[in-house]
Amino acid sequence: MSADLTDFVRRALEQKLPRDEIARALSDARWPDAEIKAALGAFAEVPFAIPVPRPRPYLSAREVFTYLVLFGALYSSVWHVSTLLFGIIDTLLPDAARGGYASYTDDSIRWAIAGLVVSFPLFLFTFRIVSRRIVRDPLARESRPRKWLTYLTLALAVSALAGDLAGLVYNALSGDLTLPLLLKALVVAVIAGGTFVYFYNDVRQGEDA
Amino acid sequence: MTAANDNPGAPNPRGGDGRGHILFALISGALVIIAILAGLALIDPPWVSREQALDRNLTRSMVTIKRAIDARYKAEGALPTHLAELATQSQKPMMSVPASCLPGIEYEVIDPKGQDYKLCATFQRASTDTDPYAGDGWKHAVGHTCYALKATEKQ
Repeated sequence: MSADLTDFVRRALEQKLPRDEIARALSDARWPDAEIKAALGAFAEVPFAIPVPRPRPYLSAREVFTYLVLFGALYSSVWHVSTLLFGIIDTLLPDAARGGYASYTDDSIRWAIAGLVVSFPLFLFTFRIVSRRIVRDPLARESRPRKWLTYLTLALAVSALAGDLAGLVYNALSGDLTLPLLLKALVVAVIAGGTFVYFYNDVRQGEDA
Repeated sequence: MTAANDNPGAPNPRGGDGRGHILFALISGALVIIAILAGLALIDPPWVSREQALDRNLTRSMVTIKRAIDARYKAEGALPTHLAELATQSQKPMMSVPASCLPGIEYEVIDPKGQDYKLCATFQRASTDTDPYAGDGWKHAVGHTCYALKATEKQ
Protein backbone atom coordinates (compact mmCIF):
# COMPACT_ATOMS: atom_id res chain seq x y z
CA MET A 1 0.00 0.00 0.00
CA SER A 2 1.30 3.45 -0.91
CA ALA A 3 2.71 5.47 2.01
CA ASP A 4 1.36 8.64 0.39
CA LEU A 5 -2.13 7.20 0.31
CA THR A 6 -2.02 6.09 3.95
CA ASP A 7 -0.70 9.49 4.96
CA PHE A 8 -3.47 11.22 3.02
CA VAL A 9 -6.16 9.08 4.68
CA ARG A 10 -4.65 9.70 8.13
CA ARG A 11 -4.68 13.46 7.59
CA ALA A 12 -8.22 13.41 6.19
CA LEU A 13 -9.47 11.43 9.18
CA GLU A 14 -7.67 13.87 11.51
CA GLN A 15 -9.76 16.60 9.85
CA LYS A 16 -12.87 14.54 10.82
CA LEU A 17 -13.90 14.15 7.15
CA PRO A 18 -16.47 11.36 6.54
CA ARG A 19 -15.06 8.13 5.15
CA ASP A 20 -17.31 8.08 2.10
CA GLU A 21 -16.18 11.60 1.20
CA ILE A 22 -12.52 10.56 1.49
CA ALA A 23 -13.23 7.49 -0.67
CA ARG A 24 -14.94 9.65 -3.30
CA ALA A 25 -12.01 12.07 -3.43
CA LEU A 26 -9.55 9.23 -3.91
CA SER A 27 -11.76 7.59 -6.50
CA ASP A 28 -11.95 10.90 -8.42
CA ALA A 29 -8.14 10.97 -8.30
CA ARG A 30 -8.24 7.49 -10.00
CA TRP A 31 -6.98 5.45 -7.06
CA PRO A 32 -8.08 1.79 -7.46
CA ASP A 33 -11.05 0.79 -5.27
CA ALA A 34 -9.09 -2.03 -3.63
CA GLU A 35 -6.36 0.39 -2.50
CA ILE A 36 -8.91 2.92 -1.25
CA LYS A 37 -10.61 0.20 0.82
CA ALA A 38 -7.30 -1.04 2.15
CA ALA A 39 -6.14 2.48 3.08
CA LEU A 40 -9.38 3.33 4.89
CA GLY A 41 -9.45 -0.12 6.47
CA ALA A 42 -6.04 0.55 7.98
CA PHE A 43 -7.74 2.83 10.55
CA ALA A 44 -10.29 1.58 13.04
CA GLU A 45 -13.65 3.31 13.46
CA VAL A 46 -13.36 3.96 17.18
CA PRO A 47 -14.11 7.29 18.82
CA PHE A 48 -10.76 8.90 19.62
CA ALA A 49 -9.00 12.21 19.20
CA ILE A 50 -6.78 11.00 16.36
CA PRO A 51 -7.14 8.12 13.84
CA VAL A 52 -6.44 4.75 15.46
CA PRO A 53 -4.47 2.34 13.22
CA ARG A 54 -5.58 -1.28 12.97
CA PRO A 55 -3.04 -4.04 13.57
CA ARG A 56 -1.40 -4.88 10.23
CA PRO A 57 -0.78 -8.40 9.05
CA TYR A 58 2.88 -9.30 9.32
CA LEU A 59 5.00 -12.11 7.98
CA SER A 60 5.68 -14.60 10.77
CA ALA A 61 7.68 -17.80 10.42
CA ARG A 62 4.81 -19.72 12.01
CA GLU A 63 2.36 -18.43 9.42
CA VAL A 64 4.69 -19.31 6.53
CA PHE A 65 5.07 -22.81 7.99
CA THR A 66 1.29 -23.28 8.38
CA TYR A 67 0.48 -22.14 4.86
CA LEU A 68 3.32 -24.13 3.28
CA VAL A 69 2.01 -27.29 5.00
CA LEU A 70 -1.58 -26.43 4.01
CA PHE A 71 -0.89 -25.83 0.34
CA GLY A 72 1.75 -28.60 0.10
CA ALA A 73 -0.81 -31.07 1.48
CA LEU A 74 -3.43 -29.66 -0.91
CA TYR A 75 -1.20 -30.15 -3.98
CA SER A 76 -0.21 -33.63 -2.83
CA SER A 77 -3.87 -34.59 -2.26
CA VAL A 78 -4.94 -33.24 -5.64
CA TRP A 79 -2.11 -35.13 -7.37
CA HIS A 80 -2.86 -38.41 -5.60
CA VAL A 81 -6.64 -38.27 -6.00
CA SER A 82 -6.16 -37.59 -9.74
CA THR A 83 -3.73 -40.53 -10.04
CA LEU A 84 -6.16 -42.74 -8.12
CA LEU A 85 -9.13 -41.82 -10.33
CA PHE A 86 -7.00 -42.30 -13.46
CA GLY A 87 -5.99 -45.76 -12.17
CA ILE A 88 -9.64 -46.66 -11.49
CA ILE A 89 -10.61 -45.56 -15.03
CA ASP A 90 -7.71 -47.56 -16.54
CA THR A 91 -8.75 -50.67 -14.60
CA LEU A 92 -12.45 -50.47 -15.35
CA LEU A 93 -12.10 -49.30 -18.96
CA PRO A 94 -8.77 -50.60 -20.28
CA ASP A 95 -7.75 -48.89 -23.51
CA ALA A 96 -6.89 -51.50 -26.16
CA ALA A 97 -4.43 -49.09 -27.78
CA ARG A 98 -2.36 -48.82 -24.60
CA GLY A 99 -1.74 -52.55 -24.03
CA GLY A 100 -1.85 -54.38 -20.67
CA TYR A 101 -0.70 -52.14 -17.86
CA ALA A 102 -2.78 -53.81 -15.15
CA SER A 103 0.16 -54.49 -12.85
CA TYR A 104 1.41 -50.91 -13.26
CA THR A 105 -2.11 -49.60 -12.63
CA ASP A 106 -2.48 -51.66 -9.44
CA ASP A 107 0.78 -50.21 -8.18
CA SER A 108 -0.20 -46.67 -9.08
CA ILE A 109 -3.54 -47.15 -7.26
CA ARG A 110 -1.70 -48.41 -4.17
CA TRP A 111 0.70 -45.44 -4.22
CA ALA A 112 -2.17 -43.00 -4.72
CA ILE A 113 -4.14 -44.44 -1.79
CA ALA A 114 -1.02 -44.39 0.40
CA GLY A 115 -0.34 -40.75 -0.53
CA LEU A 116 -3.95 -39.70 0.04
CA VAL A 117 -4.25 -41.46 3.40
CA VAL A 118 -1.35 -39.31 4.64
CA SER A 119 -1.73 -36.01 2.79
CA PHE A 120 -5.49 -35.48 2.85
CA PRO A 121 -5.96 -35.66 6.66
CA LEU A 122 -2.95 -33.33 6.96
CA PHE A 123 -4.65 -30.92 4.55
CA LEU A 124 -7.97 -31.09 6.45
CA PHE A 125 -6.20 -30.54 9.78
CA THR A 126 -4.29 -27.43 8.65
CA PHE A 127 -7.31 -26.20 6.66
CA ARG A 128 -9.42 -26.35 9.84
CA ILE A 129 -6.80 -24.46 11.85
CA VAL A 130 -6.54 -21.72 9.22
CA SER A 131 -10.31 -21.46 8.63
CA ARG A 132 -11.05 -21.11 12.34
CA ARG A 133 -8.36 -18.46 12.66
CA ILE A 134 -9.92 -16.46 9.80
CA VAL A 135 -13.44 -16.68 11.26
CA ARG A 136 -12.03 -15.50 14.62
CA ASP A 137 -9.77 -12.81 13.15
CA PRO A 138 -10.70 -11.50 9.66
CA LEU A 139 -7.31 -9.76 9.40
CA ALA A 140 -5.69 -13.20 9.11
CA ARG A 141 -7.13 -13.29 5.58
CA GLU A 142 -4.64 -10.55 4.69
CA SER A 143 -1.68 -12.82 5.46
CA ARG A 144 0.95 -12.46 2.73
CA PRO A 145 1.91 -16.15 2.43
CA ARG A 146 -1.81 -16.95 2.19
CA LYS A 147 -2.33 -14.49 -0.66
CA TRP A 148 0.78 -15.59 -2.57
CA LEU A 149 0.01 -19.29 -2.27
CA THR A 150 -3.65 -18.73 -3.10
CA TYR A 151 -2.76 -16.90 -6.32
CA LEU A 152 -0.16 -19.59 -7.11
CA THR A 153 -2.92 -22.20 -6.65
CA LEU A 154 -5.23 -20.25 -8.96
CA ALA A 155 -2.46 -20.09 -11.58
CA LEU A 156 -1.83 -23.85 -11.28
CA ALA A 157 -5.56 -24.61 -11.55
CA VAL A 158 -5.87 -22.46 -14.69
CA SER A 159 -2.75 -24.16 -16.16
CA ALA A 160 -4.23 -27.60 -15.43
CA LEU A 161 -7.52 -26.64 -17.09
CA ALA A 162 -5.71 -25.20 -20.12
CA GLY A 163 -3.49 -28.30 -20.39
CA ASP A 164 -6.59 -30.49 -20.04
CA LEU A 165 -8.28 -28.70 -22.91
CA ALA A 166 -5.14 -28.85 -25.08
CA GLY A 167 -4.85 -32.58 -24.34
CA LEU A 168 -8.45 -33.10 -25.45
CA VAL A 169 -7.85 -31.28 -28.72
CA TYR A 170 -4.59 -33.22 -29.32
CA ASN A 171 -6.28 -36.57 -28.70
CA ALA A 172 -9.23 -35.60 -30.87
CA LEU A 173 -6.81 -34.85 -33.69
CA SER A 174 -5.00 -38.18 -33.09
CA GLY A 175 -8.22 -40.16 -33.15
CA ASP A 176 -7.84 -41.14 -29.48
CA LEU A 177 -10.93 -39.41 -28.12
CA THR A 178 -12.08 -42.52 -26.24
CA LEU A 179 -14.40 -42.82 -23.23
CA PRO A 180 -11.52 -43.39 -20.74
CA LEU A 181 -9.76 -40.30 -22.04
CA LEU A 182 -12.91 -38.19 -21.79
CA LEU A 183 -13.44 -39.41 -18.22
CA LYS A 184 -9.85 -38.48 -17.32
CA ALA A 185 -10.35 -35.02 -18.81
CA LEU A 186 -13.52 -34.71 -16.74
CA VAL A 187 -11.59 -35.69 -13.59
CA VAL A 188 -9.02 -32.95 -14.23
CA ALA A 189 -11.76 -30.43 -15.05
CA VAL A 190 -13.72 -31.20 -11.86
CA ILE A 191 -10.69 -31.16 -9.54
CA ALA A 192 -8.92 -28.15 -11.08
CA GLY A 193 -12.23 -26.33 -11.64
CA GLY A 194 -13.46 -26.99 -8.10
CA THR A 195 -10.15 -25.84 -6.62
CA PHE A 196 -10.20 -22.72 -8.79
CA VAL A 197 -13.79 -21.79 -7.89
CA TYR A 198 -13.20 -22.23 -4.15
CA PHE A 199 -9.98 -20.21 -4.02
CA TYR A 200 -11.25 -17.56 -6.44
CA ASN A 201 -14.28 -16.98 -4.17
CA ASP A 202 -11.97 -16.95 -1.17
CA VAL A 203 -9.76 -14.27 -2.73
CA ARG A 204 -12.77 -12.18 -3.74
CA GLN A 205 -14.22 -12.45 -0.26
CA GLY A 206 -10.92 -11.15 1.10
CA GLU A 207 -10.90 -8.25 -1.34
CA ASP A 208 -14.54 -7.34 -0.65
CA ALA A 209 -13.97 -7.35 3.09
CA MET B 1 -19.71 -16.17 -0.15
CA THR B 2 -18.94 -12.46 -0.33
CA ALA B 3 -19.94 -10.45 2.70
CA ALA B 4 -21.85 -7.23 2.11
CA ASN B 5 -20.24 -4.20 3.63
CA ASP B 6 -21.93 -0.84 3.54
CA ASN B 7 -19.10 1.06 5.10
CA PRO B 8 -16.21 1.53 2.68
CA GLY B 9 -12.88 0.79 4.22
CA ALA B 10 -14.22 -1.06 7.22
CA PRO B 11 -13.11 -4.72 7.18
CA ASN B 12 -15.63 -7.54 7.29
CA PRO B 13 -16.08 -7.87 11.05
CA ARG B 14 -16.74 -11.60 10.88
CA GLY B 15 -14.34 -12.82 8.20
CA GLY B 16 -17.12 -15.02 6.82
CA ASP B 17 -19.04 -17.56 8.89
CA GLY B 18 -16.88 -20.48 7.80
CA ARG B 19 -19.71 -22.24 5.92
CA GLY B 20 -17.78 -22.05 2.63
CA HIS B 21 -14.77 -23.71 4.27
CA ILE B 22 -16.95 -26.46 5.75
CA LEU B 23 -18.68 -27.10 2.42
CA PHE B 24 -15.32 -27.30 0.61
CA ALA B 25 -13.96 -29.72 3.24
CA LEU B 26 -17.12 -31.89 3.08
CA ILE B 27 -17.22 -32.12 -0.72
CA SER B 28 -13.49 -32.79 -1.08
CA GLY B 29 -13.60 -35.28 1.82
CA ALA B 30 -16.51 -37.18 0.24
CA LEU B 31 -14.68 -37.31 -3.12
CA VAL B 32 -11.49 -38.60 -1.51
CA ILE B 33 -13.28 -41.26 0.58
CA ILE B 34 -15.26 -42.53 -2.43
CA ALA B 35 -12.09 -42.65 -4.55
CA ILE B 36 -10.16 -44.54 -1.85
CA LEU B 37 -12.96 -47.09 -1.36
CA ALA B 38 -13.26 -47.63 -5.13
CA GLY B 39 -9.49 -48.05 -5.41
CA LEU B 40 -9.40 -50.55 -2.55
CA ALA B 41 -12.22 -52.54 -4.16
CA LEU B 42 -10.25 -52.83 -7.42
CA ILE B 43 -6.81 -53.86 -6.20
CA ASP B 44 -5.88 -57.21 -4.69
CA PRO B 45 -5.86 -57.41 -0.88
CA PRO B 46 -2.40 -57.21 0.76
CA TRP B 47 -2.07 -60.96 1.46
CA VAL B 48 -2.81 -61.81 -2.19
CA SER B 49 -0.26 -59.22 -3.35
CA ARG B 50 2.30 -60.78 -1.01
CA GLU B 51 1.69 -64.27 -2.42
CA GLN B 52 1.90 -62.96 -5.99
CA ALA B 53 5.20 -61.22 -5.19
CA LEU B 54 6.62 -64.49 -3.76
CA ASP B 55 5.48 -66.36 -6.88
CA ARG B 56 7.05 -63.74 -9.15
CA ASN B 57 10.28 -64.09 -7.21
CA LEU B 58 10.24 -67.88 -7.74
CA THR B 59 9.67 -67.44 -11.50
CA ARG B 60 12.45 -64.84 -11.68
CA SER B 61 14.81 -67.29 -9.97
CA MET B 62 13.85 -70.04 -12.44
CA VAL B 63 14.55 -67.73 -15.39
CA THR B 64 17.97 -66.90 -13.89
CA ILE B 65 18.72 -70.61 -13.32
CA LYS B 66 17.70 -71.49 -16.89
CA ARG B 67 20.08 -68.85 -18.28
CA ALA B 68 22.94 -70.20 -16.14
CA ILE B 69 22.22 -73.78 -17.26
CA ASP B 70 22.20 -72.68 -20.91
CA ALA B 71 25.52 -70.88 -20.44
CA ARG B 72 27.07 -73.90 -18.75
CA TYR B 73 25.78 -76.25 -21.44
CA LYS B 74 27.23 -73.99 -24.12
CA ALA B 75 30.62 -73.91 -22.36
CA GLU B 76 30.87 -77.51 -21.13
CA GLY B 77 28.41 -79.45 -23.29
CA ALA B 78 26.71 -80.99 -20.23
CA LEU B 79 23.97 -80.21 -17.74
CA PRO B 80 24.86 -79.61 -14.07
CA THR B 81 24.20 -82.63 -11.83
CA HIS B 82 22.75 -80.55 -8.98
CA LEU B 83 21.51 -77.00 -8.72
CA ALA B 84 24.06 -76.33 -5.98
CA GLU B 85 26.78 -76.51 -8.64
CA LEU B 86 25.40 -73.32 -10.14
CA ALA B 87 25.81 -71.46 -6.85
CA THR B 88 29.56 -72.02 -6.73
CA GLN B 89 31.78 -69.24 -8.00
CA SER B 90 32.49 -69.52 -11.68
CA GLN B 91 34.92 -67.62 -13.83
CA LYS B 92 32.02 -66.70 -16.06
CA PRO B 93 29.31 -64.87 -14.14
CA MET B 94 26.60 -66.05 -16.56
CA MET B 95 27.28 -69.68 -15.53
CA SER B 96 26.46 -69.18 -11.85
CA VAL B 97 23.48 -67.94 -9.87
CA PRO B 98 23.22 -66.32 -6.42
CA ALA B 99 22.52 -68.88 -3.69
CA SER B 100 19.35 -66.91 -2.83
CA CYS B 101 17.83 -68.11 -6.16
CA LEU B 102 17.87 -71.78 -5.18
CA PRO B 103 15.44 -72.22 -2.21
CA GLY B 104 12.04 -73.53 -3.28
CA ILE B 105 13.19 -74.74 -6.69
CA GLU B 106 13.65 -78.38 -7.65
CA TYR B 107 15.89 -79.52 -10.47
CA GLU B 108 15.82 -82.86 -12.22
CA VAL B 109 17.90 -84.04 -15.17
CA ILE B 110 15.71 -86.06 -17.53
CA ASP B 111 18.44 -87.21 -19.90
CA PRO B 112 21.98 -87.14 -18.40
CA LYS B 113 23.59 -87.29 -21.82
CA GLY B 114 21.13 -84.98 -23.48
CA GLN B 115 19.72 -81.50 -23.01
CA ASP B 116 16.42 -82.17 -21.23
CA TYR B 117 15.78 -81.24 -17.60
CA LYS B 118 12.93 -80.08 -15.35
CA LEU B 119 12.55 -77.11 -12.98
CA CYS B 120 9.73 -77.34 -10.45
CA ALA B 121 8.32 -75.06 -7.74
CA THR B 122 5.18 -74.71 -5.65
CA PHE B 123 3.15 -71.59 -6.37
CA GLN B 124 0.54 -70.04 -4.11
CA ARG B 125 -1.42 -68.27 -6.86
CA ALA B 126 -2.11 -68.91 -10.53
CA SER B 127 -0.17 -66.58 -12.81
CA THR B 128 -2.06 -63.88 -14.65
CA ASP B 129 -1.57 -62.49 -18.16
CA THR B 130 0.04 -59.39 -16.69
CA ASP B 131 2.83 -61.28 -14.90
CA PRO B 132 6.15 -60.21 -16.40
CA TYR B 133 7.24 -63.73 -17.49
CA ALA B 134 3.80 -65.20 -18.29
CA GLY B 135 4.19 -64.48 -21.98
CA ASP B 136 7.54 -66.33 -22.15
CA GLY B 137 6.14 -69.75 -21.25
CA TRP B 138 6.35 -69.38 -17.48
CA LYS B 139 2.60 -69.54 -16.79
CA HIS B 140 1.60 -71.60 -13.77
CA ALA B 141 -1.42 -72.77 -11.82
CA VAL B 142 -1.76 -72.95 -8.03
CA GLY B 143 0.41 -75.66 -6.44
CA HIS B 144 3.33 -77.73 -7.64
CA THR B 145 4.26 -76.87 -11.24
CA CYS B 146 7.05 -78.31 -13.38
CA TYR B 147 8.54 -76.89 -16.56
CA ALA B 148 10.14 -79.33 -19.00
CA LEU B 149 13.10 -77.45 -20.47
CA LYS B 150 15.85 -78.06 -22.96
CA ALA B 151 19.34 -76.61 -22.59
CA THR B 152 20.16 -74.51 -25.59
CA GLU B 153 23.39 -73.09 -26.89
CA LYS B 154 21.62 -69.90 -27.87
CA GLN B 155 22.00 -67.08 -25.36
